Amino acid sequence: MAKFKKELSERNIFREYILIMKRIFVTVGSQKMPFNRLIEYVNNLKDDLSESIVCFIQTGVSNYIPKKVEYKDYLTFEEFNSKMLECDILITHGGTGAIVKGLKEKKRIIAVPRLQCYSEHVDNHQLEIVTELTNLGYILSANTYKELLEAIQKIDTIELREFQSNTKTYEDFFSNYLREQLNVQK
Amino acid sequence: MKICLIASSGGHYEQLKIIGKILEGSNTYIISEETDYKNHAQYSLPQLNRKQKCFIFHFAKNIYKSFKIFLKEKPDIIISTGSMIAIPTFLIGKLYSKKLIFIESFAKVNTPTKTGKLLYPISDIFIIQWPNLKKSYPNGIYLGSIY
Repeated sequence: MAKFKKELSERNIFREYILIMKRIFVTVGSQKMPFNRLIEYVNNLKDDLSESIVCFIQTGVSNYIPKKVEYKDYLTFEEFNSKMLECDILITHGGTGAIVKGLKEKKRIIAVPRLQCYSEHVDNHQLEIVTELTNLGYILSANTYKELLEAIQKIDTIELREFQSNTKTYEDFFSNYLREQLNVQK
Repeated sequence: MKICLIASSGGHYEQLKIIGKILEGSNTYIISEETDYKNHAQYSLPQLNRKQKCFIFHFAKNIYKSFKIFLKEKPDIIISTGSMIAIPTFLIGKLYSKKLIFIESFAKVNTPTKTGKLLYPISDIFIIQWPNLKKSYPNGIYLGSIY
């Protein structure tokens, strides 16, 4: 009985530990250009963060192998959604698809834009949208390892702005437009 | 009334899918880029990237294929969320006096895309998602985020 009680209490502690570990999902997008810099940053986070984290990285065509975290090059639509839903923090390249998906799922997001100077993208357009969304208070962003570390350390205490969908504006616009076109055709 | 929806892959396609959903029930078809992963486009055109070797060759192929699709489908309205893949279809559409609607990307907050600048003069409706782009597109219609 004493042995059973001890095992049960050990299992409870383990369960508690899993619950307090922060789950971080990292995505580099589906571009044909690698983003080794972000993968290397995330790989190094485990050593420098005082709290426990569980990371999963979608690595795309990047060839840097992260030895300390789980990774896969591409995820199916379902796998990606699942990782997105499960995570506590999303670290993403500056692609709008991933950022917006994270915002819609009300995730805490740190965006790391792909930069042309490191041959991570053809230009710096990711920097433009990431800067704007950060200035508007929807996400945090980082361009260096130090900035990424700082962002993770403060993300739980910062109040981020909630994203409100604006798609209805387009629904109304196209609904009116098509009605006009149909009337013109008659 | 038939509507052609055309966009390259990635964020451009994500934004096109939103338009596709809005127009569910209308007679539409989608043209996108050839990619390694599946998408729901009826037609795929080879990827266009201004940095690729033999760009002119790929662009010429795009023109030929775009024309074939256009003659087969005969759209009344052509809507694109970018990028370069839409240029031949828009030009062909203009030639045949079709309605052209271009939606500048959500990612472009302050600076226009090269495709946007090229197609702005011939578009019947040009939609921008950020107010600063009014400087580049004075007749652009600001609707805000498509998301």
